[in-house]
Amino acid sequence: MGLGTVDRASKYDKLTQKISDVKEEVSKVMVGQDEVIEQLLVSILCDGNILLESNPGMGKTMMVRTISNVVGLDFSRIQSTPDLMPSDITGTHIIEENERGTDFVFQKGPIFANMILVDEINRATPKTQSALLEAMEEKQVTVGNQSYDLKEPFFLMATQNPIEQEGTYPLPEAQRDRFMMKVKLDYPDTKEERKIVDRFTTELDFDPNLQKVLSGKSLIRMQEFTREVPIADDIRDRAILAVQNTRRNEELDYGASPRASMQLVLAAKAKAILEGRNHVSTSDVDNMAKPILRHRIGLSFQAEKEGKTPDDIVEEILQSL
Amino acid sequence: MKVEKLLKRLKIEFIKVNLIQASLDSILFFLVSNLALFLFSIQVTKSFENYAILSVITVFFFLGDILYRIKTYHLEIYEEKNPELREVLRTARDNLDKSNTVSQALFDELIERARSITSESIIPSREIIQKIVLIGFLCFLTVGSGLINFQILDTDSNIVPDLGANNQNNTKISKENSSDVLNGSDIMGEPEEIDVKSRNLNFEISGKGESESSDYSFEASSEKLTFESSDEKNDEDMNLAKEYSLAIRNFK
Repeated sequence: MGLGTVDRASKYDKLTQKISDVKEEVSKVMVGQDEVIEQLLVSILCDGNILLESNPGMGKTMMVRTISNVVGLDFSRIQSTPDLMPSDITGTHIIEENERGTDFVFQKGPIFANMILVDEINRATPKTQSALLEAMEEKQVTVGNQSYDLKEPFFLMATQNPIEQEGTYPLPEAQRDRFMMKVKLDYPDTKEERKIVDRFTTELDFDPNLQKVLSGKSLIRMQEFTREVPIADDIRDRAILAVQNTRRNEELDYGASPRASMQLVLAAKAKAILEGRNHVSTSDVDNMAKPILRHRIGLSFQAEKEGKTPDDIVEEILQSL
Repeated sequence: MKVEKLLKRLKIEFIKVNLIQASLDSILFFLVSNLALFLFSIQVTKSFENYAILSVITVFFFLGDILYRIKTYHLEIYEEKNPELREVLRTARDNLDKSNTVSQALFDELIERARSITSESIIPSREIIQKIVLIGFLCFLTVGSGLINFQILDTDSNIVPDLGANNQNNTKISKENSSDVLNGSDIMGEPEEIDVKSRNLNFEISGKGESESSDYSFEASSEKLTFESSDEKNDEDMNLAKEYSLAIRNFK
């Protein structure tokens, strides 16, 4: 083996070791929810955003805060309400008095952080939602006639409550498509819930000594690595075909866009890295298909009447490949 | 590039395995054909011995077989036989042009893991053992049938006619040689009585021949035979001529 080969191997080993360390540190706080944590990490590695559907009290904030600590990123939380204004998120110009007199200065809003948790995004008005979506897509916010770049890396996780839909502004299909994946957070099982109770009721302030495994810079480097993961042509074609089949499926009113194809392949690459592999496997594509596609497809009336869910349709499509 | 070399090496390993397979198939073909020809006393052609013709056909059979086998090569064969390499080989093949860190890590890992790939992994050992046993059995049958001179049919027939002009002559001679020796009646027909008192007959019989190396010999020679006769009218003429001659002599 040449020196270059050793360097490459050690670089890749370091990468996988760091991912493993992140998982280990997060598990010091979080109990269970491995799949959700993994999908969150996938999203971070892909520089994507997550739409999280979960009931209240499931530890969403704790999860994002823990991950942001471990990966060395700033964290901020926005609670959406119908009266939340875009300027409450983006920031606004305020008058500042200084030695030279008064001056308009831009006061950054909570969106200027690396990791943002937007709670109950569907309670915010469409105008506020648009400001968030611009931030997600463009990695910038516009205040007045001036645009401000957001921090890099930027990761946003928006939650919505599957119940209590009254008085909400559901995200339109086009805006849902901006989220890389939709993650469902289920209730923990008895064993996990017992562990959660024990962990958080024995100490006044449960604060494990979390190690900062990564930095913003190294995370960006990891995002570059993710895109370099090689994929076999037939596996890539499988991902594309899965997405295309959502457009042809009779049980769906509308299917996923080509953006879904890109993000499915990208998510499969990140999943491969999390699994410690240096190539994408068919199982990576299959594992990522549901979170990538479930919010991008619309069930037909007939399918809804039969009690089918988007996950059922995606599963059927994968089985047919 | 190392991975390209690896993929080439895998193909060579595949060819090695199929070389064994094609060799065994060819040996089987030769033995079965040879045994069949012997048992049914079939001579492919008298110009050459059976084993020489079969050897040539077997060489062509081997070449055809190995070419066909090499044509069917695909990388997935190794994946099927080495499940731990499933997808890795295909991914490497499809990303040979990539030179980034993760791809290089994949190539390095593949080369590392591929060290354990040998021809053994794709050798159909059961099939090969069956063929070897069959070859042994056929060898035994060939030797056995030769020793006891067991032949199902004793036809001594040719499949292919002999080739070349000399061969045609040989065939002709062979056919002549095989005919029975004929007597004079067979050759000339039945003799018939002729009336020789009233006429003279002059005839000549001549013949030619070549010496031939054969089990029997015959001599060819030329003969000249003259038969003469005279009838009553000639005698009278002769007497008349005699009298006439005497009368002239006496006239003096």
